[in-house]
Amino acid sequence: MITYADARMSRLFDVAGRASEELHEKQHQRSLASFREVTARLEGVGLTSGWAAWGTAVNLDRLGDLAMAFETIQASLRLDPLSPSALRSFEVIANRLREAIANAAPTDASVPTLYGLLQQTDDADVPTHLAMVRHLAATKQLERAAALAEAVTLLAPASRDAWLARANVARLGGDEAGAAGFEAEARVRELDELPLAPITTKGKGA
Amino acid sequence: MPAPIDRAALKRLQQESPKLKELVEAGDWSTLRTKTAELKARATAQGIDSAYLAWCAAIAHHELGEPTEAVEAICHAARLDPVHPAITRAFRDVCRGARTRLCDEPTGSALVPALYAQLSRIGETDLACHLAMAHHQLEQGEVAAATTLVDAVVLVAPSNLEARALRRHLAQVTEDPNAARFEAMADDVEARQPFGVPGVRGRC
Repeated sequence: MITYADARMSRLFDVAGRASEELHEKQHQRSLASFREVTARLEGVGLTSGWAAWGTAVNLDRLGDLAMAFETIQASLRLDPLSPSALRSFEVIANRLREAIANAAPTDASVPTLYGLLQQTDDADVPTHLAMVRHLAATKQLERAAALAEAVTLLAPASRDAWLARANVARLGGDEAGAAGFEAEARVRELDELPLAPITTKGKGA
Repeated sequence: MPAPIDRAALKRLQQESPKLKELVEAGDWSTLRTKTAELKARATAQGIDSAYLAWCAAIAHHELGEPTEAVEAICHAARLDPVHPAITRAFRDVCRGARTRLCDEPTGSALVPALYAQLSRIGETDLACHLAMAHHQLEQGEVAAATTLVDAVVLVAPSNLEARALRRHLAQVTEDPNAARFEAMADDVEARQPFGVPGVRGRC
C-alpha cells in the first residue's frame, strides 16, 4: 500500500492518476477537468508540474481550443523544456494551428490571433504567412498585405503561391502591371519542377 | 531510337549495386562515393538514370561534409522517385545538414551564398539561413541587400531576437535615423521571448 505523509498529496496523486486514465480513454472533457484540478491542487501547496500542463494542453487541443492549447503547451515547456512528450505535443499543436490558419476563410477574425501566436515562437511557415496576406487583403489592409507578400517572395522565391498572392494584392491595389509581373514570376515556377521537398509535417519541418 | 541496352553490362551493374548498401551500412563513405560515381558512369553509358545511385551519392556527400553535392544528388534522386521513403528521409537529412553548414560557415565563406542560392531554389531555407546570408552580405559590404533581407525576416518573424539584433546593428552601421526605434523593439522582444520553446525554426 502506498501512503503519503500528507493527505493533500495523497488526494493529488489520485486525481493525477484519474486525469491520466481519462486522457488515455479519450474522455477529454473529463480529463481536462481533472488536469485542471491537479494544477489547482499543486498551486495550493506551492508546486508546479510540466506534466499537468502537458495533459491540459493535449486535452485542449483535442477539444479544439487551439489557442489555449498552444499557450498551455508553452507553459509546460517553461517548466520542463526537455520533456520529449511536451516537445512532441508542441509540434503537434503548432502544426494544427498552421493547418487551421491555412484553411481559414480570408475574413475569419481568428486569423490574426492565430498568426500572432505562431509568430511569437517563430513557428509560422509560408502557407501561414500567405493566409495572413489573404486576410489582410480581404479586410482592406492592402499596404500591410503588400509588405508581407513582398517579404515572403523575397524569403521564399520558390513558392509559386507566394507570387500569386502578391499578384492578387497588387491587383486589388490597382497595380495591374505589377500584378502581371508577379504572375509571370508564378508562371516561371509553374514551368519549373514541382517543389521537391517532401510534405514535412513537422512533428513532422525543416 | 535509343541504343539497345547491353544486357551483360546491365547484369553486372545489378550484381554490384547492392554492395553500395553494404557500404552505407558499414559507414564507409569515401568508398561509397567512389564506387557510386563509378557505377553511375557505367549506368549512364547504358542510358540508365537510377534514383538509388543518386541516393547513395547524396548519402556519401552528406556524410563526407560536401553539402552542395549532397543537395544536388538528393534533388536528382527526388526528381526520379519523389515518394520513396528512403529518399524523402534523406532529403530532409541532407537539407538539414546543408542548413546547419550554411549557418556554421565563417562569415565571408563562398559556401554561404552558394548554399543559400541552392536551398532557396528548392524552398528549403529557414530564418537562420536568411540571417546567415544577411551576415555574409554585411561582411561583403552589401549593406542594402542585407537590410532588405533582415527587414523581411523581421516582418515575418518579429519575435526573432537575432533578426532584431542584426537589424539594430545595421541601423547603427548605416546611421539610420530610426536606430533608436530598433533598439527599443529589440529590448521589447527580449522581454517577451518565450522560454523553453524549441529554438528558431521559422520556415519561410
